[in-house]
Amino acid sequence: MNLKSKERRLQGSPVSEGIAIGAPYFLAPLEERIPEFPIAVTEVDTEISRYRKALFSSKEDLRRLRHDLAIEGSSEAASFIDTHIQMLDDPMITVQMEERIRHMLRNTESVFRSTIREYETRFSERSDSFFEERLVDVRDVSERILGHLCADQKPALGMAPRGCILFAKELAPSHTAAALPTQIFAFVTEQGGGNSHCALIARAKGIPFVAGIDVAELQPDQAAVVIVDGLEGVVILNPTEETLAHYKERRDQLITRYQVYEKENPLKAETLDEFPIRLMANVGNPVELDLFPYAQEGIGLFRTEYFFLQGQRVFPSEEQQVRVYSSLIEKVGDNKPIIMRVFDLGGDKHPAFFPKLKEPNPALGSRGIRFLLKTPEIFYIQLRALFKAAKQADVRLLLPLISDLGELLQVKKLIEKVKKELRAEGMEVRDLPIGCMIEVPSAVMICEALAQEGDFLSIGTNDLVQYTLGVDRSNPAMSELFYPAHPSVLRMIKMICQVGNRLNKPVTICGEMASNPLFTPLLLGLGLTTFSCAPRYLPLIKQTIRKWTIVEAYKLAEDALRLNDPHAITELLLFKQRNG
Amino acid sequence: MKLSQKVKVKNILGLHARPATAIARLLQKTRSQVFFTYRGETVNARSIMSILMLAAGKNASIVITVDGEDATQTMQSLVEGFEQAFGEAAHES
Repeated sequence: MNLKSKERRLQGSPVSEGIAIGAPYFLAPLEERIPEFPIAVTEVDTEISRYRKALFSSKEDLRRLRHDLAIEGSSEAASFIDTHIQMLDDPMITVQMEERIRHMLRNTESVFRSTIREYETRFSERSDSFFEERLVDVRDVSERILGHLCADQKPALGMAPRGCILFAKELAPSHTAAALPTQIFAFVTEQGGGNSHCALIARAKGIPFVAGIDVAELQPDQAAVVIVDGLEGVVILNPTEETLAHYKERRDQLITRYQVYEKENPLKAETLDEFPIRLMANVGNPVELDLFPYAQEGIGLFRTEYFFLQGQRVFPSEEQQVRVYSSLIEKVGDNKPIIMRVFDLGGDKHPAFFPKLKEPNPALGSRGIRFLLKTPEIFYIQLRALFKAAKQADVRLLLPLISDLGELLQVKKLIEKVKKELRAEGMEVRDLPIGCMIEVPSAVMICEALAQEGDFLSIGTNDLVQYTLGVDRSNPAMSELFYPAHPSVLRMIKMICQVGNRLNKPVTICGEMASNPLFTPLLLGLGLTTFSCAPRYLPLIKQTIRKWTIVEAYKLAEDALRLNDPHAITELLLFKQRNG
Repeated sequence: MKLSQKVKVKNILGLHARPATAIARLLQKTRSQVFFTYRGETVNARSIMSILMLAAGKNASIVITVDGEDATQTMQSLVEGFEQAFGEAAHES
C-alpha cells in the first residue's frame, strides 16, 4: 500500500477549538531560515561580540539546564550537558569561528552555518552510520547557538500560502499575532500548551490549534490534505473520502452555530430579570475590530504590546504609537470605554526591539509592570503616546501584573510627570482613569488598597490561576491541573468583587474564563457585571447571560463556593449549563 | 619538550562525546600543545569536535603528540586516561 495516501491519525493536545481542512505548510526549522549577507570590515567587531554573546547565553542555558536536571536526579542527561558546555569552548567554535568571520566578511549566522555544514560533510565522509549518531551533539549545540544568534529575527508568516495548515516545532507569540485567519486555517506544533500566549491569540482569532504533535517526524510531502480538530486535539493526514466528508459536515455545522449567534447581536446583554451586563472586547490589533463588529460596548482590553510584537524590530516611535492608538479610538468612538493595557512584555512575550533578558524563571521575573518600571524609557514614550491619542475619548489605562501598591504609586508619579511635560508643550491633557490588573495572589489580598489608589480593577484569570495554583499554563503536561474554577480562585474573585462594590470602583474580568460560557453564570453570581473577551465569543456569552436570572446565578455561585473539590465545581457547572 | 606515544582506544563506543569531553577537560589544566593522529589525520586534542571527527572506534591506535613545558605530566595523564577508558566501561567487544 502506498504510505503516502494512507490516512494517518495523530493525537495531540487541543489548544484552540475549531475544525480546519487544508494543505500542510511546514515552517522550516531555524537552521534553514538563516539570512546570508556580506558585512563591512568595520562591522566585524560587532559581529564577533554578537557571536560571543550568543556563546555566553548558550552556556548560561546549559548551566541552568544542568542545574535543573541535577535537581531531578537525571545524572545521565546531565553528563551530556557537560559535553555541550565543553563544546562551547572548543577551538573550532571559538577561535576558528572568529577567524572565519574576519576572513569571510559575512554575517555570523551564515558563517556559523557553513562551518557546521562543512564539519558535518567531512564527518560523514569518513565515518560509518554508527558514528553519524555522534553528530547529534554537534547539531544540538549549533542549534542552540543559532537560536541565540537569531533570537530577534523569527520569520514572518508572509510566505505561507492562503488556506494552509501551518506546522512548526514551536511558535512565537509574534507568529500567531501576525497570522490572518484567512491565510492560516490552523496551527499544529510540537510545543506550546493550551494557555500560552500563542494559544490565547489563536483562540482570539478563532484559528484551530493542536500542540504536542511530533512535527519533526512528519515529512512535508507526506500529505496533500490535513484535517485539524482543535477541540479533540486530533490531526489527520491524508483523510479518506469518508473522513473528509464527516469533518466537512462538522466544520460547516460549527460555522452555522456562529451565524445563529450573530443574529443575536442586536439583542441586549442582560439577564432574564433585565439586569444589564456590560460586554466588552479583548483586542490585540485594531484590525480585529473590522473582522468582528461586536464591540458595541467598548474595549475591555487592548493589548498594546501585540501590535508591536508582530515582527517589528525597532522600538515603535511615539508618533507610530499615537497613530495606532488613534486608529483604534477612531473605530470605537469617543463615547465607549477603551481600556488600554500598557505594554505587557517579558515572560514569553519578548519584544524584538529589546535585548532578550536571561532569567532563570521568566514567569516570576521581569514582566508586566516590572519590565516597564525597569525600562522607563519605553514606558515613558508609551504614556506620552497614550495621552496624546486619548483626546476626548474614554481611554482608561490598565497596568499588568501589579503585585504591590508601590508599583501603582510609581506609575502615578510617572504619569504626573508625563502630563506636566505635555502641558509644557502646549497640549491640553485630561486625567485618564487608571486601573490594576489583578493577576497575582498578592494583588488580590491588597485589592482594597489598589482600588482606593486607582480607579478600577481588572481580573486577569489566566495568570491569576497560574500563580494561585502554581501551575505553568504553557505546560501541556500540567493542563489537567489548570482549573480556572478552582475554589481558591472563586473565593478570590468574590473578594475582589466585594471590594469593588464597597468602594464603588468597577471590576472587569478579561481572562479566558470570561470567554467560556460554562463559567458565565458562576461569574455573574460572584458579582461580576463587566466581561471582556475575544470578540468572537461575545455572542455566545451574551446568549448565555440571557438565559439566567441574576438570582439563580447568585445561588449557583453560593453552591459552588461551598465546594472544595474543583472536579465537583466543574460537575456542578456542567450540570447547570444551559445550552442551545 | 616534544613527546610522542601510541595508545589504544579501549572504550566500547570508541572516542565518542563522553571520552572526548573528558580529554578536553583534562587538557584544560595543561599548557602543552596536544595532537591526536589517527589514519593519517592529525587534530587538536583540545577540540571535542575534532576528536569526534577522527571517528576512532574501539581498538583504534592513536598517536598522541605533546609539545610544551608540561609535556611529561600531560602525556602521562592522557595515557592513563586511555588506559582506564576515561572512566567508562571497557569490556571486550
